[in-house]
Amino acid sequence: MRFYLSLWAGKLTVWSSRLFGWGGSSLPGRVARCLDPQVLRRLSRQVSGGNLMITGTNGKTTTAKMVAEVAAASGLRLTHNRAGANLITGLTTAYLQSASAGGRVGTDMGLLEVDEATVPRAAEEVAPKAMVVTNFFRDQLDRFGELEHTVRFIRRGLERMRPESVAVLNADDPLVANLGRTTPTRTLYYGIDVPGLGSREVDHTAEAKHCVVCGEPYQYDVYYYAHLGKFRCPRCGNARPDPQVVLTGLTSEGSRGSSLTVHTPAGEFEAHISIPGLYNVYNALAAAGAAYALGISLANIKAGLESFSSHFGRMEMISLGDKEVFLALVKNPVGFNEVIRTINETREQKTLLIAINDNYADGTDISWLWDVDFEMLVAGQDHVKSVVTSGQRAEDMALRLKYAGLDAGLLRVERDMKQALQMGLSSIGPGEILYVLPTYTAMLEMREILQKMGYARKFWEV
Amino acid sequence: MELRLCYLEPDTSGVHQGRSNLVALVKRCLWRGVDLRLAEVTTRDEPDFRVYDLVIISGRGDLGRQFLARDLRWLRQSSLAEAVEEGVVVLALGAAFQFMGRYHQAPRRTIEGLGLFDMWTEAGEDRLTGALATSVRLPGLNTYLLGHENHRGRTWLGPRARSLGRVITGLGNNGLDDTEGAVYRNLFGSYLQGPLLPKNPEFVDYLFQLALERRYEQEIYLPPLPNLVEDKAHQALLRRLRLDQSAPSPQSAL
Repeated sequence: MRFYLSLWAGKLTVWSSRLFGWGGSSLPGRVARCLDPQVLRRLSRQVSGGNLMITGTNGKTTTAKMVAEVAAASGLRLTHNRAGANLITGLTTAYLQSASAGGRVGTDMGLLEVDEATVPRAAEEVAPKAMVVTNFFRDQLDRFGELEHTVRFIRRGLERMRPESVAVLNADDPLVANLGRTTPTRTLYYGIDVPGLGSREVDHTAEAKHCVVCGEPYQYDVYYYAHLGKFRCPRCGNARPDPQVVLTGLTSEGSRGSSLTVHTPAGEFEAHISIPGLYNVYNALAAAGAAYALGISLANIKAGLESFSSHFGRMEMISLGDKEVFLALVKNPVGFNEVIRTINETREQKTLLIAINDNYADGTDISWLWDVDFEMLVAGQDHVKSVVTSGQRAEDMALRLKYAGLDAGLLRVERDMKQALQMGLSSIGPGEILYVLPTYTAMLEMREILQKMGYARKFWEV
Repeated sequence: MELRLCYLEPDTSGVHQGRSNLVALVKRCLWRGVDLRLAEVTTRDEPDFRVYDLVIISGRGDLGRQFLARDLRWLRQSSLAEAVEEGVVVLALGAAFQFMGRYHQAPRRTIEGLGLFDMWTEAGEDRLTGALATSVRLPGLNTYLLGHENHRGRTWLGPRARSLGRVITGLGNNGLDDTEGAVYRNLFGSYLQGPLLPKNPEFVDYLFQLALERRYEQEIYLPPLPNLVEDKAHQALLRRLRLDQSAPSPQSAL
């Protein structure tokens, strides 16, 4: 009885949220869990295809979205927490939306992007068939305190999984790969093995300098980016495990994406993905690894990856009349550096709008801005026409750019995001691009402004 | 003029504290035309701290907390304590600040510190985190220091210790007695981070001045630099903390 009361109250909240146009995707879950704390457990265990959890610092949403395309290509119906509501209440809401009034879940599989701190509880409640761990980077450090702490959350989650379930792990990230040493589950590693790719130079954003077993500094045969690469410990021999799902060939096509050759135990396939950046190659490998672990055919994996297109402003282009807006979410040094690298690929003079908020969802400690390689952006000073900084921490962003060496004359501070957007747009000509780089809540604000101007869809429809 | 700066990042801290403080020092030296001799050292090197004018020890106890004892042993065996006694200007942040006390007590072990500050630290249950603003009054420096804090340790000052500042907003050393950081001779310890030096240029210049005056054994006048962007960031944070009314224009002391 309690279950039905909870279910109906939750569904009623889903329905009224839609009716009144609230974007809230955690409220229904919260309401339902108050009435029956077991509601997620009861709903999620009904799906015949099982649940896939995706966690890690970067790439959760993109990887989940790629898996969703692969699942669609295989004809699987999904319960998917699409809006990025990745706390326990968000997962519950997703399942409430898939459930009938009789409490029956009408989908085949759960695809759940899960916040790191929520992993132990989510693993316990949904009993996942597989869990993908993408990578560990310093991100919003104030929320979890320490990276070590975050890793512990994931380990605890894995310990609650069944022995026949699979941990899909990034072999190139020492912190992730090490989870494979202790997990009671089966393991499947994915990684990169492309001769000539990567560098021998260490990136200063590298997190895991030392062997997780004995503390000796790692040696790397190659770094792909940050601390991801072919690592080994010269003292105790702890080294990157051999991945089963391996990228063996890569052709970058600049801002139009990349072509991948992926080797798996079931054979090899080639796929073109339409978003740029090496980190998106990793996301595609994670998605391929997860889909392979769930028994999906290579043909469907290829089809899914190829039908994927960028979404919810992880990196997207929006046309505004005769001008264009390049919108990319920034939330930590590694992601921001990748965005800068992508922007630097085009040679023309650029106008940027960087909007930094420090709400809880953005991380209240914005000191990570000092670990972003803005020097790389400013180094081609001739390539930067002007920068507008905006958001709650507009001044801090301006300060960072000054210390990165940006000429103060090219810098404007405008806290109000609408004003800042207009300022940015008015300083570019027809056919030119305004590069807009917001943090999470600044992105929501920016999209609302764009939406009022009539240009972008509501994010939860994407 | 020449300034010998040593930037020490404990090798085993795993995640670096953030290079913001180093960037601020390097850039302000450059803008002042001060010839900077920078040594970036880790606990795998064997520096003699007495040859430097300014030593910055960054410390954000993170990933490899299990290795802190090794870092501390290294620090204890180094010439840091002698350097402090000789008047070298030293800034110790976060975990490094805790090292400078008498001991650090965690549930399972107690670590003996350098004992340069008469203070001790106990690990708390939860983390003290959030915006931190302190009022600092030292000979030649009267300002607010603004930043962020994130630490589990509660630090208590003994009768012979002096705090660096008084907490205006935030938690400070322990969340109870309104003290933040500590000062002994030219050794400054603080929990302020994120970033401390770029946002508090007056404090950077104060450290420069102390270091240069000690090195050249004369009074040194540092002409003010254009701090427009810094002041804006400083004032925006004061506004957020609702301190703007009471603020005696933090940059005016330059």
